[in-house]
Amino acid sequence: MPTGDGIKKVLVIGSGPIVIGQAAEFDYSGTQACRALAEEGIEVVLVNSNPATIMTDVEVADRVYVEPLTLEYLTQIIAQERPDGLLGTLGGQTGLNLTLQLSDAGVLHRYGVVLLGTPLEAIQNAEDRERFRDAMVGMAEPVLRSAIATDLAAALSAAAAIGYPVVVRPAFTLGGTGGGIAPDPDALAAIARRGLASSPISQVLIEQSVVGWKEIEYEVMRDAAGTCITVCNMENLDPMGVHTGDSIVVAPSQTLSDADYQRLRSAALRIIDGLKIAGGCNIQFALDPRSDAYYVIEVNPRVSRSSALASKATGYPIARVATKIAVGLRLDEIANRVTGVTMAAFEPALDYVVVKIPRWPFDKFPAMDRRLGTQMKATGEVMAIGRTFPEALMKAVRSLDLRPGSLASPEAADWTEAQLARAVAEPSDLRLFAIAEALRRGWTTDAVAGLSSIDPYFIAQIMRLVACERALAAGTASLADAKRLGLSDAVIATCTGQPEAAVRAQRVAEGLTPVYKVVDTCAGEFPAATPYYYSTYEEEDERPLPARPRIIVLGSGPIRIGQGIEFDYSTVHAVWALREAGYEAVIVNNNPETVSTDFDISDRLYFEPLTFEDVLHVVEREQPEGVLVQFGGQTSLNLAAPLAAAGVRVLGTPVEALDISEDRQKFYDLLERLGVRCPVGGATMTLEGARALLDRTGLPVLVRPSYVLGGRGMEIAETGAQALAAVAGVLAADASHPVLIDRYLPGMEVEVDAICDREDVLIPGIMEHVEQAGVHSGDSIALFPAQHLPDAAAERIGEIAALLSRVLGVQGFLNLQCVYYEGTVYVFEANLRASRTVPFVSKAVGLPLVQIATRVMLGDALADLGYSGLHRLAPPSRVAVKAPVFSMDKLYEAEAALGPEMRSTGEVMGRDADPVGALSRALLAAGVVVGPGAVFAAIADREKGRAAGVLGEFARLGFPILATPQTAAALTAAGLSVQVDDPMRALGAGGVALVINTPTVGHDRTRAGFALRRLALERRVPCVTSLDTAAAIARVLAARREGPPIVEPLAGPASS
Amino acid sequence: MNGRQGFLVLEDGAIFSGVRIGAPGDAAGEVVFTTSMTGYQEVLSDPSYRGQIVAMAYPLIGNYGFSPQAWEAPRPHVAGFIVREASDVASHYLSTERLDGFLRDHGVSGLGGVDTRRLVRHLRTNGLQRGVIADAGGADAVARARALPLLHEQDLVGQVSRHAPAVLPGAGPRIALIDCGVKAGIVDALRRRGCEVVLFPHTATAEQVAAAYPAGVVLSNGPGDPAVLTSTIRTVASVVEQYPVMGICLGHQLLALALGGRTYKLKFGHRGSNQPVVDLTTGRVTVTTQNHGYAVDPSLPPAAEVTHVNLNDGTVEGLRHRVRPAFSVQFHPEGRPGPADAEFLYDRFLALVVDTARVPSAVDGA
Ligand SMILES: Nc1ncnc2c1ncn2[C@@H]1O[C@H](COP(=O)(O)OP(=O)(O)O)[C@@H](O)[C@H]1O
Ligand SMILES: Nc1ncnc2c1ncn2[C@@H]1O[C@H](COP(=O)(O)OP(=O)(O)O)[C@@H](O)[C@H]1O
Ligand SMILES: [Mg+2]
Ligand SMILES: [Mg+2]
Repeated sequence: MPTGDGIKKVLVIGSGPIVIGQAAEFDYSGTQACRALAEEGIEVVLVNSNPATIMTDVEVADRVYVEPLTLEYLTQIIAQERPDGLLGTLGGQTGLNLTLQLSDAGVLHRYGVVLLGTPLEAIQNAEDRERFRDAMVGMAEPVLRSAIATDLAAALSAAAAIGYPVVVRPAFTLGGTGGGIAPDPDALAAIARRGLASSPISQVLIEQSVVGWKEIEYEVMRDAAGTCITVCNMENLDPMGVHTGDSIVVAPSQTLSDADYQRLRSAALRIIDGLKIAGGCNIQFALDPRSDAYYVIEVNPRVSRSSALASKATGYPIARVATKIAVGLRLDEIANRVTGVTMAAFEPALDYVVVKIPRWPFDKFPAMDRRLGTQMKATGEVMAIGRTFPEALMKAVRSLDLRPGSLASPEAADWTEAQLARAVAEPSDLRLFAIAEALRRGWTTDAVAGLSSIDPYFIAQIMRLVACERALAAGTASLADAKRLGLSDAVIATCTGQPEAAVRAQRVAEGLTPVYKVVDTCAGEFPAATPYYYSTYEEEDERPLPARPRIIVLGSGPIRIGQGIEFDYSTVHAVWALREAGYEAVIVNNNPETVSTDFDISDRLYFEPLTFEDVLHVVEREQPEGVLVQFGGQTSLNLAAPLAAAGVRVLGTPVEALDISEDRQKFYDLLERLGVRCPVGGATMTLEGARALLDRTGLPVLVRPSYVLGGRGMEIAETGAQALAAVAGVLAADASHPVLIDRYLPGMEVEVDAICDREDVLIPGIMEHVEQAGVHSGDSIALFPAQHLPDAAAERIGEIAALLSRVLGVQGFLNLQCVYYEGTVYVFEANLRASRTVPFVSKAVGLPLVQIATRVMLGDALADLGYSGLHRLAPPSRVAVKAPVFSMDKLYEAEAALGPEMRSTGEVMGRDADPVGALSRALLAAGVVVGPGAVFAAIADREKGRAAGVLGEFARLGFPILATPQTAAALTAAGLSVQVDDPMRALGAGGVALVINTPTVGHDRTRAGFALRRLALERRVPCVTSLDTAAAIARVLAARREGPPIVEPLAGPASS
Repeated sequence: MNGRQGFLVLEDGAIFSGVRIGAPGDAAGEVVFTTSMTGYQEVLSDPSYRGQIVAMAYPLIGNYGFSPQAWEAPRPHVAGFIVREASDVASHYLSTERLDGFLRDHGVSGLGGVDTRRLVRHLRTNGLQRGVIADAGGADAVARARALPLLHEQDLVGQVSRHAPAVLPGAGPRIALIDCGVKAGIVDALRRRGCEVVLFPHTATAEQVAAAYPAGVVLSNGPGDPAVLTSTIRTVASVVEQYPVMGICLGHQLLALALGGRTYKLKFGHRGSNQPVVDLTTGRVTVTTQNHGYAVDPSLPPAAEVTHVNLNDGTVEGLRHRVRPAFSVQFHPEGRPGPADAEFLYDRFLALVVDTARVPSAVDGA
């Protein structure tokens, strides 16, 4: 493949919205790739539909297209930009699949675009399960007995030949979508049907199972000259059977002898060389714990979640190096940026241990099956670095940002022995805690290891922690022992029955504080030029030379529903602003997938848990001018108060104001005092209190716990009984915080991200939600600027922002969420931090809002930055639409209906001069594509009237309408021609293009409705649960245009 | 944690505290570090570490235990062993022993719980030095460290070589192996290729080697300063004129010296499994295992040329004779521990052996 010479302009494909299995790691890789290309003097054209990414910043690429990742749009962009080369291996499975499509459709050939990096054939040999198996057999590498099936009958007969259990693995999917382990033919039929549907080429592999074997990964690089190296290997603590994305992973391997390590390493190098990969790839092996037998499980011929983890674990920037290789450089020509003196052609040596723990969304979906298998369920992950395994493990557990931040899980303590045995044996998010509990109850390490198939080495390490907890309680462990083992002050305090502050005081008195060591890729062999630190309790601190004044930015930790990549975007922009203002920017964060934890971004990176203790230690070491807490979502904001109480200077909005905004009661009181309307409501801790409140509010109401993010545990109740049941539910989950009850206002939801400096206010514009209030702002489609909000209401929102800003002393971001209902603006929430929508709005207006906010937090006046008074930006020339993306295909048992609890994992943006055009692009980018066929309607009684209008639109567009009997009756009565059908039959038969199913509000979810939504998902038929969304789709369909789309890059920073 | 406190004391006065592991006595020697993340048993038993206290840069040691398969010599050779965390579990189906017991059984004194990264950085910055592992870290320990003999003042190879020749049967070419403390991996690499291996003490003369009628000669790895091995150098100078020769590690240095080159001591050496080496003829980089404190000076005599260099620091990693079928590498093509990516060098050597046998005049010409 001719690369290098003649490559002046390269198109990079991003991975699109965040979904389970494809998250922020591709923003990290893509951003690194763009910068690596720019370093070589290459012009970079980037396309990605996800606005919440750093890679889509005009600072990162020369031309940025935020457009749907479809063949049509890519073709148009290529026709317009005429790039010389295409990098398709950095956008995850999405980027790879799109690259294959572009090649198959002849687009690359037509426009003379060279595919850079790994050749297409190598990609196919790795991705296509059948070709992969043949390639491995050709290389004499061992693969498991398996058969390819493209229909159910073939799957069943293959399994019969192989013998149960079998593993089903669909081709060309990500995160193990549609796969599973089938113990018998019935289970196989169910899994295989799903698997065939989720594979774009309807191909699954039926494979012999090696559940319980060690799962080992190698990250390997190869250049065009054939030099091959391994960046690192990783051992999954959870053995085969749990997706690597859902496994606790340790780097480097801990239980492999040198012979084991080298045997697999040599195989990995033979494979990457045999496949002729140019760049990086991830190779997964199954290794028998009782012999030297191994099998090759799969190869990912691209950067991946694992490669991001490996990069952070070693300091070796895989995506950067892969990009350089793609444009023709050799490994020995690429400098190792960590040492500055060595080259990329080497293998990192670690002198620490890294532990990764996934973060799952089970707290969002209480009804979900928490068991883990071959299909990934985690939304994000944390990584921790320590000098011992227990230390790294405990840091990782703290980084999860889940209570209680230790190995003690409140639920595990109550389990019977039988329950505990099951929890130890069955992989789930609770297994780590179950193991600790079993050891606490005196089970032997061998018993636990035997039951869980987890290597006894790891169980023994957990035992050390449990033993230390016990010794602390008995007064026989020293503080030094506990700290060296990785226990936090909080855990020690629980064990010894002291307050955390007392532990801290005693510790400081004993001189027990952590030292910080550098991640340097070479285990200390060379001086490191890169400031990438982790804490440990040892002798030497590798103190950096004091330089300029510095400021710490707190990151947002693992990606979870409600707190996603948007916050990493803000963190990175804050760092850029600090550096531009002449400060050293210091980041504390623990998410290995993100851009913010790229050591190239900040002046110093501390890979640490975001807890009070861990952050305070960094503060004490850095002695910063202040700490920025507004960018890391709720995680960093929650640290503001304790840090301030410890004397740390929190920059921007005062902590007292943060407290008011976080406490609904105080906030609503304030609004009332200021004469700002808010929903009638209140807080209570009892059922009697709830009854009294309901008398005041009237119905319907919104019931929710206090102090949460992402609308956790929120419900809309239409009857008093529903409301009381909801209150009881919240109190049962957590009786220590009040329950909030508000009148539910079914109006238009609008939202604004303002920047305030106590005096002046900058309003970039107002977002209007397509779905009426009651659908979480993170899950609704939003238009920017608002299209249907009367000017007076927009004025009023500006006034309210200005008023709150002055009264609260807001210095930085103010995110205001309102309902416009019957001519009045009601405020229901204010967040005094960068919100989820900040990157979207920044891209819509072409202004780096975070950088402006950071300047303000550093003390600049908005007026000096050119925004005085109540400054409203002029509306941009193009309307921007944000659409949510869900990962429902991974979360089988999850409720797919929209509600006040956030459920989406990612978002896309569509831009167009015309609002419907923008909406159309956003829906396309979100994968909501309505093909030819019928529209099936099943509508809640309450909305049957409105439904007639919306379905009338579809009928006018020529869609046949099918409906459930009652809905059909209502629609027929309204004059529509409707055919009654059974939803399951209709979907099963095919021919349905869209399902409109509005569930009964509240938790009264009929089984039929739930099953209908799940089936639609399985059949890949778009299913909308709000009439507003349906109406928007109808508008888009009505306005459908022929001909190629007009694509236009984002504008650069507006004259700033 | 619990256990007897102990110290590593260096000649420059630096003190590192830890907990005693292994045999109870004191240890003394040159303190070196290796960055290999796996292969501690291979390290412990590599005769090239004779006279040295080895610190593992990787902190978790002993996890997968000790097995009869992982020996590089019949017993450990390190003078002492230093780790951050000595595992008290050994988890591997082949394991028969745990770290502490292993060290104790073989009389190796060690120190656990050490801030080994501090130690590595100290040695990197200040150069290798002598040190002692002792129960007390006072001034007399420093004095003892300073009184230790330097590497070139010791006959380390004499301690790890052999007294008498030995023959290991094989159906292929007969290879004479000058054993300066050979690793089992080198012998295995030759035997796996069918060679009959005749092991000679490092004191063997060229005549003694010739009496075995070898088809080729391999110069093994070994400990210490190569320049003190004058009789071995003399033997090498002679066999190079008669047989195909392959030198490994110390053997590479011996070949350089025999051809009239020079060696010198590196500040802290190369020890680990991740050293990148560029083959100057192909441009290809190979990741190699290394364990050496001395290196060959790049200004070679006219008869030899440099074939490999270290990508990190440019030091000489390989050379060849311009005329004779003789070459040598500073790294260990057999790995153990570490990658075996360069194992093909043994094939290259055997190809030379076969070629030479086919053209007897080349040998007779000597
Ligand atoms: N033959 C098998 N036996 C047991 N477990 C398996 C087998 N094949 C795959 N798995 C498990 O399923 C997981 C996901 O499978 P994989 O095909 O690698 O999905 P993906 O392509 O999404 O990474 C693996 O990480 C492994 O734990
Ligand atoms: N009083 C209300 N009337 C109607 N909808 C509301 C009301 N309060 C909240 N909501 C809906 O619930 C969603 C989540 O509520 P919010 O208070 O913003 O929680 P979070 O802290 O999770 O953002 C909002 O986006 C909105 O759609
Ligand atoms: Mg996989
Ligand atoms: Mg909200």
